[in-house]
Amino acid sequence: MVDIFRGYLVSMEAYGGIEPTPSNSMIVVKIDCSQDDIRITYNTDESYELRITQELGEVVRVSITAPTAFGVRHALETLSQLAAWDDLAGSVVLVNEVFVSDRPFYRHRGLMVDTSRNFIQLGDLYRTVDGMSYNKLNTLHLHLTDAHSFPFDSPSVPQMAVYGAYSERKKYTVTDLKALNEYANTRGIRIVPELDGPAHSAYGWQWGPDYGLGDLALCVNRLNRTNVCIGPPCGIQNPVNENTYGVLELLFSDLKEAFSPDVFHLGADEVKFGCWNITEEIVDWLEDQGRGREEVDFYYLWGYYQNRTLEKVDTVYGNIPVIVWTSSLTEENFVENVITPERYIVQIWTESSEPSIASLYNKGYDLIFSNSDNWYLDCGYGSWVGDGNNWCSPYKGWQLLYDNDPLEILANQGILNPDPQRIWGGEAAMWTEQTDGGTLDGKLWPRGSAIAERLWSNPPGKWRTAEKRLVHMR
Amino acid sequence: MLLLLVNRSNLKDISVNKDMLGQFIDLLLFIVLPRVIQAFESPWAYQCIEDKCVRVLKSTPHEDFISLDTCKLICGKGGTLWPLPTGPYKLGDQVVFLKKEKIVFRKLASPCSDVDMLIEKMMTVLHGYFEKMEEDGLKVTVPHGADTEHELSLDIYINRCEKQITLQTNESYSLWVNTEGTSTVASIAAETCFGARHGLETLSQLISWDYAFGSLIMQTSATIIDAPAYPHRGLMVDTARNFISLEKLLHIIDGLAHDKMNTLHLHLSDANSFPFDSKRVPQMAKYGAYSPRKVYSFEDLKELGEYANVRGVRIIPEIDAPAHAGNGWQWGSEYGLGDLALCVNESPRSQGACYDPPCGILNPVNNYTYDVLESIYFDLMQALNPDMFHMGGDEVRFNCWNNTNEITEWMTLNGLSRTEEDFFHLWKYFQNTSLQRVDNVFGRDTPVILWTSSLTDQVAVNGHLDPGRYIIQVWSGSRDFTIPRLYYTGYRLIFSNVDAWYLDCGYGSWVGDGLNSCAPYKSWQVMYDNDLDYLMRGFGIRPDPGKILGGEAAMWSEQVDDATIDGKIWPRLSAVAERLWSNLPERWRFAERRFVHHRERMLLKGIMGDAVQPLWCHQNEGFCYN
Repeated sequence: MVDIFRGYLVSMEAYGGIEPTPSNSMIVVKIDCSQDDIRITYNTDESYELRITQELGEVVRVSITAPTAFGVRHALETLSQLAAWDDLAGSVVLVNEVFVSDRPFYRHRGLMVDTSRNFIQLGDLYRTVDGMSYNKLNTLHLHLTDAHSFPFDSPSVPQMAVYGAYSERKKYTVTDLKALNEYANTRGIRIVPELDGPAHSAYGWQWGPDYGLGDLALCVNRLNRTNVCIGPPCGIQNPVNENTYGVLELLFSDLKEAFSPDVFHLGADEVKFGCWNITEEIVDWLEDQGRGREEVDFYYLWGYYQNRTLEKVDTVYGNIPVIVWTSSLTEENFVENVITPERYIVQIWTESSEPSIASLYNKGYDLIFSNSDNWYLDCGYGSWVGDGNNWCSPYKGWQLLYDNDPLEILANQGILNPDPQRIWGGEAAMWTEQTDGGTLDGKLWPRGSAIAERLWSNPPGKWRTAEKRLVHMR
Repeated sequence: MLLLLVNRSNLKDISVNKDMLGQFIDLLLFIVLPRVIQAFESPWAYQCIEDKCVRVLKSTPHEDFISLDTCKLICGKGGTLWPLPTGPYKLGDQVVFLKKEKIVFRKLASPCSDVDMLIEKMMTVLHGYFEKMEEDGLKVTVPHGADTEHELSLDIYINRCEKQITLQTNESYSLWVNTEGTSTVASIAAETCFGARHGLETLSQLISWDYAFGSLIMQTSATIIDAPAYPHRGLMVDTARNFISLEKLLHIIDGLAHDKMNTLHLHLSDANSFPFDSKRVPQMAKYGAYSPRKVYSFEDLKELGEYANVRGVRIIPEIDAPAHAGNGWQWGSEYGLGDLALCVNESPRSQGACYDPPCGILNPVNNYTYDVLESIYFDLMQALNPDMFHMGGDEVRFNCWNNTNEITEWMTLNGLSRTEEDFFHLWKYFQNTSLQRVDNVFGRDTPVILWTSSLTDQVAVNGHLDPGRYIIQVWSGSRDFTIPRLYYTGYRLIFSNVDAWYLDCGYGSWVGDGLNSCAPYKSWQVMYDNDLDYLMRGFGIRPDPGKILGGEAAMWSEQVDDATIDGKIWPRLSAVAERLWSNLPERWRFAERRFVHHRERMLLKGIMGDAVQPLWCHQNEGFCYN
């Protein structure tokens, strides 16, 4: 962490491009850190105090006090923002009298990056982690897989990437991800992996019959997309094939090896029942269970899938919290009977005006906000499936991202004093149907900085009070 | 608050009271090493079925499996050509493996040595493409061993001695590719070397890397007769709202060449900054550049012009006037020349002096203003020798002039009062006087371009700007009746209509809440479908082809700089390029398959265009658009 900080100073000088003016100033940095956590989790205390005082002569003392190394890291980040290259002085300059006492407002401050619709190269993920650390964001949520491709090269189930990766180079090995995770941890960032299921699964899942395991996914690449799935491409996991859960368990273990995550994301969005309803294997199973083919029966099936999958999560990870997206299920009044609020955190991608947000809170779910009307980074471009602009248009300007206040959203729905422990924070979502490495930075930043300040500082002011600093930050 | 000078080398004494921090420092020593990519045997292959590349499992019983790269070259109308040829063309359905060392330049028939030298440079550019294809290919594929004795010989025939591309340049070419045994001959015949360059560009699109086999592959047979539909096919880049570096402009020219675009219009200056470091008037950049490193020297522009010409691109410089001028013009009084610009950096909210911050408008009653303009023109002429010059001329508001004593006194002296008509008179005075300075520098025959404005609205009715001299660049919307008025008055038109060909729209506002002024975002589909014949027919006009010169996509830079400009220009500019080169009757759905391929090909050449679809759509043709 200290080396990273030194690196910032080096780049400031490099920016100057001249031999710095000689100076006799001596900066002495003292760090006090009382706890020995070496992995950042959702429970990490990220607070810190930073003091700069100038003593007699040219000695400047910097004192950093923080409970954890991750608080120390944030303090160093702040310290780097108190220094800059000064053109007129021809030197790096540092503010000489400072006191900062600081802690984040929310515990979960993140970006979600989809690595399936288009593949995101490791180098781009590393750079994204760098950018997050400058903004004191602490969570990189990887939407690792989707119907389009399966870039995770699982050593236990190599077929997934063989069938599902876009190409040989568009995949991540466990070694790759492990290294990424270490890199992120050093920068105060934890990685939350998501394996989206049961829907959003197609490519990578087609090999079951070839290997004698039956259909692991159904309706892969069906063209009739309106009734069967939300696509293209179609595809949903086969919840009545025991081998599906076997594969999931293996994937979970490999992901544990890579990330040892403290929460796991199960996806669970946009399940359409059309495909299950036209699949004989499913219909027969429902009949065996004494069920019919009504919507409620398919919710029963979905619940069965969630429970079986959660068992596998427990086997691999123990009883860690799991996250699911809002979906038709989370809008149902029986949702808590299918997914229990004791275990499930709900990530809201519904719009901020959706009344289901309040009802999810009232049912006892912890919440993470990614409401698509303000915190979606992919909106406002041309459609990728027809005329016009994409579904969540228009583009969300940094001003909207900045002004999106989860507490205000809850207050507007009548929840005035929510339990702060239950509002985890938020993530800006970078879905990648229309983004890959070449243009990722420009879509994440500087808007990622706007959400970062909302989640760290949660200031009472709106964007105008932040404009000058945001432009500087960019 | 006092600022201290700090030297990085003095930051030694960091005391850490916990050993654990040391562990973190160890972690930091971790270096990202280049990965060796483990090849896996992909279970997928392709078949060309009904003009589509269809992905199939290799385990499916079938004989005609081909790789995706081969399929793209031979399957579907036009293969991977972008833009599509306008003359008759025919592509074969076979490929051969090829080594780039076996591509030989056999014969060049041209009338003069200047052209020979240009062709040599163009060939170097072409070889650069193959090197990039191979370099990327070899990262993931083992080189193909067999069948690499195949040879490609290239013959080029050129008729004319023309060595600088202009609006008049004949860009047509013919390309024949024939294969017999282990020998392929590609012949390109063109009137000019710029036509031949387009032929080479097309040839490069008949060749690609096959990632399944680890080799360059090439179409074995092709006949292509081709010429552009419009002579003016361009991109405008604003270098004043934010600075765009020289390196980035050179890179943009590479992209224009891949698209067979022939015009880079530089909106060099605006009220915000003046990045052109004029030799004759160094004060302009000193006062007006954002920083000493955000400037173009005379030599920079000269290099840019020559680099562009080799790639079949001409540069049209614009010095916007009389409005959109401010920073850079503030030094007049200090140097005893009086006010060259007025209301500089005034807020647009004060008395409506301008549209956007910062305000600023030239002082049309100070003769030194014209002297300075002429000096700048002279530098630009010497650096770029353009065949057309752009005088800007948009968004003039009269409030600033109306509130300036020097102006109103001059108007009174010249028998004018202060009605709107009188201010139009003043504007025309400015336009005519500065045109004389253009004449002094570029000559009276050089066409001059102006943006549509309230002035061009006026003259369309009153006829004050000579239609023989002025070309009008239309940024008005496609249904604005100024278009037929200008057309009927006799102006030649260049289209950049804001509702289709503006690349900057649809982002957050930079001056308040909401989205920027021309939102929503113009998708590639909208850009592709901006058919100028259709647009004119909307006004009941069957346009005289000589009067519609073509168009430009406009990259205004309030919200873009080097970091993201590739992704805002491309791939959408490629859509404009096919509209202007091929002008097909079809709409975007017809082009989608080739368009997405072209974007991938441009990525390989370093043009980081935005993604428009999941890669899945590229690998599964016909699934994303039915």
